[in-house]
Amino acid sequence: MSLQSKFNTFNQKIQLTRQDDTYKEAREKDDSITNVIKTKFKEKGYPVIDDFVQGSLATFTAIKEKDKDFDIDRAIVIDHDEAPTDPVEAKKVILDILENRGFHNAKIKKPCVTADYKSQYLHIDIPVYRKTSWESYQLALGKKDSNTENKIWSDSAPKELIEWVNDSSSYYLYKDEKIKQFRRLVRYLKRWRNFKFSHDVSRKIYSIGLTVMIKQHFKPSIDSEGCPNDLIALKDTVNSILNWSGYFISYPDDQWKVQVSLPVSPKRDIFHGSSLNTGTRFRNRLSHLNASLQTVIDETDESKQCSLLIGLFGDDFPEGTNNTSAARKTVFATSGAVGTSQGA
Amino acid sequence: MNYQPIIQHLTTRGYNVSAIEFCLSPAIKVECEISSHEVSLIHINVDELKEMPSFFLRKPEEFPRLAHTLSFDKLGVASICVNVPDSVSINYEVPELVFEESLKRHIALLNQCLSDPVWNEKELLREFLAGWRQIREQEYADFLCLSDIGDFELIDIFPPKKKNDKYGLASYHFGVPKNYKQNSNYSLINNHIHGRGVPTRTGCIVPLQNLIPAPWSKDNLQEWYLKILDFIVPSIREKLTHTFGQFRDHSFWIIFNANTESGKTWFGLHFILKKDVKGKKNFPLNSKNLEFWDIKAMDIRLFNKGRIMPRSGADISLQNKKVLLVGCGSVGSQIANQLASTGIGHLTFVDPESLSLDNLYRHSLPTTYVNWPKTYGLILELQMKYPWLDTDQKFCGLLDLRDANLLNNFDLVIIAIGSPSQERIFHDFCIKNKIETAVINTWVEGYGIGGHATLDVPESLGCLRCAYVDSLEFSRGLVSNLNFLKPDQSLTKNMAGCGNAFLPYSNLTAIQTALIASDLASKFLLGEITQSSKVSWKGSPTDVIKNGFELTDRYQAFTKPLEILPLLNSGCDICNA
Repeated sequence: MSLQSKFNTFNQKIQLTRQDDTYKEAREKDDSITNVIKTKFKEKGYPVIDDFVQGSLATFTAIKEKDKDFDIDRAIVIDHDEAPTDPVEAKKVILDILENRGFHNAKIKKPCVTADYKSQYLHIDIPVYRKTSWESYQLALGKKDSNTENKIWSDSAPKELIEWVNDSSSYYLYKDEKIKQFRRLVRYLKRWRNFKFSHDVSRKIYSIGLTVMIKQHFKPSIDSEGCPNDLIALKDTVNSILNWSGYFISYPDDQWKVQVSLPVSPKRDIFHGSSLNTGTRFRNRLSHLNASLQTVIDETDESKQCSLLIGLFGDDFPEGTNNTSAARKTVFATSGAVGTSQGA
Repeated sequence: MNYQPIIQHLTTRGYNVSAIEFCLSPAIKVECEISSHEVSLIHINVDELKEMPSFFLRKPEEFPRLAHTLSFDKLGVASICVNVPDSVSINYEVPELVFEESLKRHIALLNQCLSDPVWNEKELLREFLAGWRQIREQEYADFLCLSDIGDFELIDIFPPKKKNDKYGLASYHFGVPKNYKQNSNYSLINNHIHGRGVPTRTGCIVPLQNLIPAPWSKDNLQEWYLKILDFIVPSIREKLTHTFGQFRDHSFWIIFNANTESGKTWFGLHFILKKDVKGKKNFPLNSKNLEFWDIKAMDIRLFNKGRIMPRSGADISLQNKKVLLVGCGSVGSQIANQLASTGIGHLTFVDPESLSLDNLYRHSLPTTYVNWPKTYGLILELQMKYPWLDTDQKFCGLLDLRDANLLNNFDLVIIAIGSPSQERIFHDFCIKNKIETAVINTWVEGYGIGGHATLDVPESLGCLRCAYVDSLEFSRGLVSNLNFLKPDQSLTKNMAGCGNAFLPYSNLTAIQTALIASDLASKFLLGEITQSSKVSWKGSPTDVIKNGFELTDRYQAFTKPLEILPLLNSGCDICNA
């Protein structure tokens, strides 16, 4: 079993898509809540003109974590001219809906309405946008008790961000293979973050921050036959992230702050307000990951390689021995028939 | 050609050159001293310089017998062989330099022959057959000896059935050892032996312990023969005396062989009773008996595996290999020809179809076989050409071969049917039943874009499924990931309605594809490849682009055509289980 095959198995174990059976209940909950929001907003006079999935499910970089919530990131869009002047008004409507449907800890945060559904390990984030006639979006900012000046419709580019993450136009050959490798790398680093950091630190190393860093420094490794080498791609990408001076700002006593700008409007720092502690821990562990990946590359014994990788990503990474339970399950083609160019 | 500048140039280089007339032709003569001998070299002028100019040695009888020279008694000269005419590229634009170079080579060769008698003698033996051909009778140029080893044995002589037959094997004398084992199946050799009825004469094969240079002329042949008899080891001489020596007949054939530095050298003599001698006489083994006989020298061409196969590029070690070739279409029929030419001994052809006129231009079989099973046509065609090829056939499809006992009986299975579904089903059977035989799958792609072959060696990693892994989903793909054309394009053409659709590609495409598969097969059977492998060739995209079809990224990225690469794909669930 090749090491790439182990990465494939690992990826199969951690990846989460909206079509996954494990996400079925979340999907149904999402659909039902969205329908109620549509009804309520219509009654309020600002009907929903669009809704879309955002976050890691939209960029195909979501991962499963044992005993952790599934995220629902559902954006609600209303027309600019029909939207209430007070952006929090619309968010309050959503808060009521969530509270009435068994969600706990429902609250209006600055960028969205958020809540948990404990019995199903669900965490829901619902941002509200208004869309202008020139096709731009503005995000409803403000908490329940915010001052009027903090309740604003702020320029945002949610779809542009998704498109930016999903864009593969600059990859030349094997574009599809490369964008898929990029997504796997994001999953690997998210799992690494969750595995290597305490909850308090890992929750401050934002997924979108990791995604942007990987996207901007992605070094694909696809051979001329279209076969991926995720280990090399991951090592090269992490190395490039560390070598770029823009993300980690040096402070005295070997301390660091992390800053990553959103690649789309309003181009704010994703890690705005992040502490020296977060930045320093993040950078130190990333450097350690970089060195460890090199050790894995230099190691010739596959079993030892896997042990090292388990140390980085946890038990979902398969062992290197003849462990049949680690065998990748057969994935059949999803088409019934495909036309071929083959003859003899 | 103007020889004046050549003469001038050679003169300035110190040669004594003059223009003369030789046998009514203009010529140049060069006189020089070589190893204390006065030597005169003659070049007969030519109209155009196409090869290294040759010089003749004048009065060769005044010299000891020289290697690499052949005497032309009537002209009083001997030719000198300084090189194979095509083995040098000459500067025909500056002929004077070519003449100077040629002269140097002639003089150097003569100098070595004259100054080093040991070397000269060795070379005379090494070049024995060149001298022998000088004295052999033209009528015996075509004698085929079927002996394998060259030990002492009696042979039957089968002359050509029609005396004036000049072409093909029918024009040859056949010398067949009495204990020759005939192929149990039909074969070219059987056909010739049986077609000639009963043997007309007897001969024998006699190995020699030693050899002396070939006689200088036909007049010396009898004397030379008596000397040669001394090189027969006593035990064989005794056998010869007690068998062949006891026979009385009007003619005898004796075939000698001896080891020289060029390998085992074979040559023959035909003894014919002189016209005025009545009755039959014993085979002559001494000078007394020899007076009844005329002797004629003849060339012997060995017609056995050991000689013909390596000489014509086949590998005799493949004779015991058994290959099952499934699919005898445009690619399969070419593979059959190519595999047979490598020296493989046993080929079994499988195809459920007959030859159609629709495929005439891209199939190797001629119109004679239209409507005949392709397998039958191939067998007949190949047996006409390859004397040591055993063939068999099955008139069925790939999936009818799902029989472990049958498959394990072969050294290699080659599948050239261009059907990804059937090929994957068959592969599933092989995996499930732990078939021990390696399998090659090969296919062309339309519009001349390329072709592929995979070798699945059961005990090594890499299988047919590796060539079908969908690298995006790491799933079992339905089309090969080796392909250069994207899937789901309407690639077939149709000229006569339903059931007549075909994938356009030429015979050249089929031949190229067959070549990579045959190369893979022979390397595997010779043990040069032991791991599962893949190989592709890449053609021009012109027709693909012209017809508006799309190429895969592999086509764009592929830079290793004809290179044998590992087949293992890290996404294959079978090889990574």
